[in-house]
Amino acid sequence: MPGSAGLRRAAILLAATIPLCAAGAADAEPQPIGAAQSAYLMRCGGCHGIEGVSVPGLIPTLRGRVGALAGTAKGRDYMLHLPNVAMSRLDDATLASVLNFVVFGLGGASTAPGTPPFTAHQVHAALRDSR
Amino acid sequence: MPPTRPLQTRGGQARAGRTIDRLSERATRLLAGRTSRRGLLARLGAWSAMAPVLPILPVRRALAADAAARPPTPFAAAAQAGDDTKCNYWRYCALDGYLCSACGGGVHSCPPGTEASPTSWIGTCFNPIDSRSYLVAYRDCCGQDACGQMNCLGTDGDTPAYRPQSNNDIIWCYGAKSLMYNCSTAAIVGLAG
Repeated sequence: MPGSAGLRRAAILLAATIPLCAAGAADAEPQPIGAAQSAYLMRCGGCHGIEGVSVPGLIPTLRGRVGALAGTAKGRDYMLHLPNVAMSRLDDATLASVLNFVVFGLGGASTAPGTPPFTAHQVHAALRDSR
Repeated sequence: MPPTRPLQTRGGQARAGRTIDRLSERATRLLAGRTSRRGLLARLGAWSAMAPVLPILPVRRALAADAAARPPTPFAAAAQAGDDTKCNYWRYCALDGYLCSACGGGVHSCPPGTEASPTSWIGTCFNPIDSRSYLVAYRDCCGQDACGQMNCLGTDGDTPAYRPQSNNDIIWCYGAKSLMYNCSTAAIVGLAG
């Protein structure tokens, strides 16, 4: 019968579509990594680790630790003059955002409440002579 | 006052009703004779089944590709996504070394007898399939002599040796038990923001 042939075609199409939809749902859409985290990964994360942990004892662990440095003037100055920070080709605002990702993102509980974020102005003032 | 005369008699109403019934029946029979309920169901089913497939049709994808980002580098413009044992595979845009996928390992696994370094060089590569850029970690496999198969040199994002923090000539076996370089893998870290 012509009607049943049409039904069969529709059923085949429907059956073929269900796995496609299921596959689409199963493949989780990768979430974009923010600009500051991307810059951290490309310029720091290779050694310090994607999650801020790499080779304890050989490469400083950032996760859960680095915030202690950002709580003192000496520590902040030390961070700004680390070789890959001081020689970075990032602009001041982007570099400040990367430092803030490290301190507030990776630092976690080691970053004391009230710790001020790095600003582009502070980065510029600290590095204008070394660039 | 005499009662108002109805506009139509009961007999007239009955005749009009029969006429409407006849016309409706004729129209319904005509429709039923020329169409098939199962055919209609089949067509509805086919269209509803087709709807989710539309976004993956080539026409739709071509339109989407036009609107998407263009390859940002010459490497990306010539890259392919089918064969990870060739240097022009899209993930290798910043890889400098031998391909583990051609050395007994995989695109993100080390060959037997070697160890993945805990440190890596991270670059950004453009995927020609979805026209998006991904962060890729080039993790060296260490512990055996150089593989020697498929020596590639992707330089996207690479800087000269006097800026070593972004130079991919460096052997990234730092932190591994052995500094002997064997080959490089290319694992996706995430979608670049």
